[in-house]
Order: sequence, then C-alpha cells, then structure tokens
Amino acid sequence: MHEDLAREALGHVDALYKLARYLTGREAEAEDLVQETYARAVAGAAGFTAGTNLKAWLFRILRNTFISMYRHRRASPEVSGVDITDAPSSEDWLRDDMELDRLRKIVAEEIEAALLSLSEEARTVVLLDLEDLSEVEMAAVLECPVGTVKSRLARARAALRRRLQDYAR
Amino acid sequence: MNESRDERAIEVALTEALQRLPQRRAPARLVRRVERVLAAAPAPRRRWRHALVPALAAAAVIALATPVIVYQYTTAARAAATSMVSEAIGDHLRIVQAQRPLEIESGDGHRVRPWF
Repeated sequence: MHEDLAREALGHVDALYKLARYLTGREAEAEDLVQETYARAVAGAAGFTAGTNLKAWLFRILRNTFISMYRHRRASPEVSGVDITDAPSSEDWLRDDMELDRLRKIVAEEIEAALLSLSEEARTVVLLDLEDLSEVEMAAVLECPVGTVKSRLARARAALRRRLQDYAR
Repeated sequence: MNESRDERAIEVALTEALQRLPQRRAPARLVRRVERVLAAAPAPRRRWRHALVPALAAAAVIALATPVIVYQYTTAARAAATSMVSEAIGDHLRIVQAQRPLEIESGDGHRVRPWF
C-alpha cells in the first residue's frame, strides 16, 4: 500500500471503529474487526481505484469482514446490543460543559439504545448515512442498488422514530 | 403542506439526534495495532519493475546477436573487396597485354623470327 494511501486510511480509523462498535456491540470484537479490515485493505490495495472514496471502500471491506467473521453470532444477545461491561464510563463521554454534556449523554444513550434495537442492516445504513456518504457510495458499500439503499434508509429512520417515541412516553 | 413541513422538521431533528450519538473514538491501542498493520505492508511494486524482465531479455538478445551480425557483415564485405581487387588486377593485366606486344628473342638485329 502506498504511504499516502496508508496515511489517509489511518485517518478513517475512528469512523471504522464506530461502525464496528455498533455492528459487533463489543469493544474487543470491534477492535479485531477494524484491524482485520485494515489487513484486508492492505492485501487488496491494488483493488482500490485512485480518486474514489477511500472511506467508502474501507467501510465495504469492514462490512464484508463482519459478515464473514461475526454474522454467525447474531443470535448472541451481546452482538445485538452494547453489553453493559463495555459501556463507556461517564468520564469518556463528558467533555467541557459538564451539565450540558450530562444532558446530551442521556439523550445519546436513548438514541443509541434505539439504534441498537434496529436490525443490523438498518443500523448499518443509518450509520453510513451519518458518515456523509452519497447514496451511490452507500450502495457500493452495501452491494445493493441505489433504490434499495433509499428504501432501506427510509424504513430504518421510520423505525428509529418509532423507537424514540416509545422512549418519550 | 404543514404536514410535510412537520415531517421534514422531524427528519431534521432525528438527524441532529443521531449526530449526538456517543463519539466512539478508536482507542489508542487500536490505532497502534492499525499502524503496525500498515507499516508491515509490502512496498508497492514499481511499474517499471513489470518491464524489467522483458527489457533484460531484449538486452541479452541484442548483446548476443550483435557480434554475430558484425562478423557476418565484415566477412561479406571482406570477400566483396577481395573479389573486386582480383577483378581489377585481371583487367589491368589484360589491358597491359593488349597495348604492349610480347618481346621475341632474336639472334641478330635484322632477323625477326616469328615465334609461331
């Protein structure tokens, strides 16, 4: 892998880890998944087309790696949600303004819980949408037509809204 | 109209809510692991290396063929030059013979004895 490409790839480690964390639900597995993603990216660097979205390419590798490595554990309750032992401490979440961040933490936890209650496919498309990928790039990551991405994203967001309404009651 | 505007507002609010998801940054140990993976990656093969083997083969063929071609060329040139010299000498001798009659040995200065 070219040095510049490696440096740019390393810059996406947070985004990859975030998706990996929401897919696996466990910190250790997310780290393994991200490392394996980079290993596969290095091995298949020749397959990357210069000038295209590197982050989308890495997301695609991560998703395929997840499918091949972890999907068989979907029945496990730890995989479907964030387990309590891996939940970040309050110190990790709090930032400058303690009170405001405390409020944001509560809201974020609810959103996170709602997101984790979605199916893996719905969760993935919502998270990819948050990464500012175009629908075409998301379709490349998910290896499906653009129309499927649109409908899947619309359904996922509708489901998320229903979950959040449930929490508000 | 109002309903669609409300719908859009809800969608915007949902997006903003999603942007407040906990920022899960990659732990430092993961960054180090990834850096090791990237550092261990083999250097990309240069494009000119793909042409190295054919270029070396072509150079070897040229190196072997050049002496043979030069030898053949010089041998042919030398043979042609030898042939030209022989022909020139022969022509010269014929001309000399035609211009100067053969001398015939005689017993005295007044008697000419044909040799044939």
